[in-house]
Amino acid sequence: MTRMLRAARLLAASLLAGGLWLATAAAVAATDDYTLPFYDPNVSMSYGMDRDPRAGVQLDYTGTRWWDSAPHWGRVYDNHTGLDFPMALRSDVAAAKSGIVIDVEGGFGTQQFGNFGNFVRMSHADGRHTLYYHLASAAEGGILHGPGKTLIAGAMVGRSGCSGLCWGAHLHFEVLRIDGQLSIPIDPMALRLWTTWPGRVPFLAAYVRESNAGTEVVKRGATITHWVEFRNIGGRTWRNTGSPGRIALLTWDPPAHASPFQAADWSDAANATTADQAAVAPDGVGRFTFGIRGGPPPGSYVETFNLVSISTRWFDHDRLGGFYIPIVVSSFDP
Amino acid sequence: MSVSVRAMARHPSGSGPAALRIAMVSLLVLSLLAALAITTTSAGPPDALDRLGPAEARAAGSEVVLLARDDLAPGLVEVRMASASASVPLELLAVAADGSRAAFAPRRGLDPTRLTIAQPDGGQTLVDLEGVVGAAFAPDASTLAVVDGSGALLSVDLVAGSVSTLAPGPFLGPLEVTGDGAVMLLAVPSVEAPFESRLVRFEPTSGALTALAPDGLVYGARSLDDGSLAVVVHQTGGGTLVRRLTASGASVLADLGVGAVNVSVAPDGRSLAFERAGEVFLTAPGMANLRRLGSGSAPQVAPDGRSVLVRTSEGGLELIAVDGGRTPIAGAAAFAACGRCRP
Repeated sequence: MTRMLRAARLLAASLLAGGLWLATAAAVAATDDYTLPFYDPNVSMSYGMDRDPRAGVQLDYTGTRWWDSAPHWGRVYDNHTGLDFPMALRSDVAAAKSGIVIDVEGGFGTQQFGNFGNFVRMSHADGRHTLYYHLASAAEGGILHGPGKTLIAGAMVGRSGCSGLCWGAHLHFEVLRIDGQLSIPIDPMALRLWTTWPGRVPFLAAYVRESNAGTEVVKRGATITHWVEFRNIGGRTWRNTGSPGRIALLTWDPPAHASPFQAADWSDAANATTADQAAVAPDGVGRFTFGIRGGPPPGSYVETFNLVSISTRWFDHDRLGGFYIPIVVSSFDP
Repeated sequence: MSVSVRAMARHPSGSGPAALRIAMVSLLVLSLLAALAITTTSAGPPDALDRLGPAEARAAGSEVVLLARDDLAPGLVEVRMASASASVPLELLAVAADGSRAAFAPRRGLDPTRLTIAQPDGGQTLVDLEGVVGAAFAPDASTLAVVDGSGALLSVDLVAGSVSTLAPGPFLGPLEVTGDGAVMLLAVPSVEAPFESRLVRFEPTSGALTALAPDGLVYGARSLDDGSLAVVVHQTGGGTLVRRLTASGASVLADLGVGAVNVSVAPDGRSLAFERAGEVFLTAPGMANLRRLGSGSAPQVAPDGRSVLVRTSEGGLELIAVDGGRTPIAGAAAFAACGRCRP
């Protein structure tokens, strides 16, 4: 049974990693420090920003000019000042960059139609602001923080909705250049403000391989070393220092539970390790090496792990292939 | 109306001399004007303005009936489809001050739509628009100011039967047309995501825009009977404040706190209705006599402050009296009274 689960996990990880790799094969050098403002890599942009202020003339992020006022799916609609990302109601919305919440509105209903809607506005160290509009009501978790709250890149700012002038749940995202009292929308697509091209969600990993893809056997009381490698298919560089934001391998299912296999090199009973490398850039492969101690009585066990950006966000465990390690604790040396 | 020094001094981000702040607001308005001017080259009036006589409207099955419902609340006008078989939902956009005309569309929004203006004789004026987000009649009902889906400000001349673009915007409502023909409305950076909105006065004859309040995010405003302005303002962090602006200064009419939205102020400024978390509340200046009226949204307070028109969770309308009694309204409805713009 364990072997079957493990084989399924490896297959799923390979498929997911392969598919995502194909989707991001055109990645080029980073231009700035923004990532997509959500976590689900299946979300894609429905309409981008119109860089031509004239009514009836549209300039999309690719430089294509449309001499009409019709909406062009995936590209632009007339006088659109931001990027629209359709997503289910109450989907998690992420900070596109580290910054400070400077204003929020959460009083409108999650799907309340009207001239105004719920939003979060953040200020960033580069002087720009980001805007997250049409959010769910504060009562439904649309707004998670008040003004003054510092959020690191990729932290959750709220949940999506359809408040305001909205005909279907989506996130309207803007990057604003501040010029005195004026807030001028700029196009993160045309300017390639993302850490990668195309933009990616902040945190995502794909299983690559591990030191022993089969069952680990450890004598009770002894410790063995295990390593696993994940490819960084998100937009954020993984760092093994700093808090919050350090990328670590923790126990999962339930999240951050105390593990009976904690070895001396773990930082606590749930935190197995950080990446061996100081930094793992997007598309890079990070290795996570840690000990497994035969703590519990002899028998067969499974320990499950997931990556987390400390104090920020768990990774999507399914996209890690549901990573776990079958462990047999033996009375004898294996 | 201009912004007084005291009104300016209430700007949350301002602490310097009033003159400096006036200059900053002026600069902002000039910048907004410059941004608006960029788009003037290709903004044009809508193509079509049609008129249906009463018989034609009847034949088309689109005839509407305007009912004065003063029996329920003073100034309440109900708009119904005349034909029982016509069940097209009406998004009522504006009612003339005397209740004689109403403007409606199938739905507000950015998509192309047909605006209908129902006339006293049963005839209709039809205007095809690139969406509509707000409208208001002039006090004498001779013109209708409209903000279309692109945020452009249009004027429908109901006497001459013409439509013209006054300014490309983008703007948002609520609008108000004053006795001298000026339009009070909100200048926004975008129609879809207005994270900023400035209360401005637009002069059709000169094309001039004048800032009426220094606040960065205004949700709405209305003229009051005494000539002052009630301005609903978003405060950083989600609070909602209602200011009263007069020629001599500004004061806080009510601090509604966090989560209060869709504020409606009676023309005399003595009653305010608002919504918070799906509940409708009625209060007086200074939050006196605050009372919860029950579930509902988008409240409109009656001119006498004795009842509030609300949208129900099922999408219908109900009139809630201060004693809690609820009266369903079959059609679309709004209050005709509009403060000092009444003839």
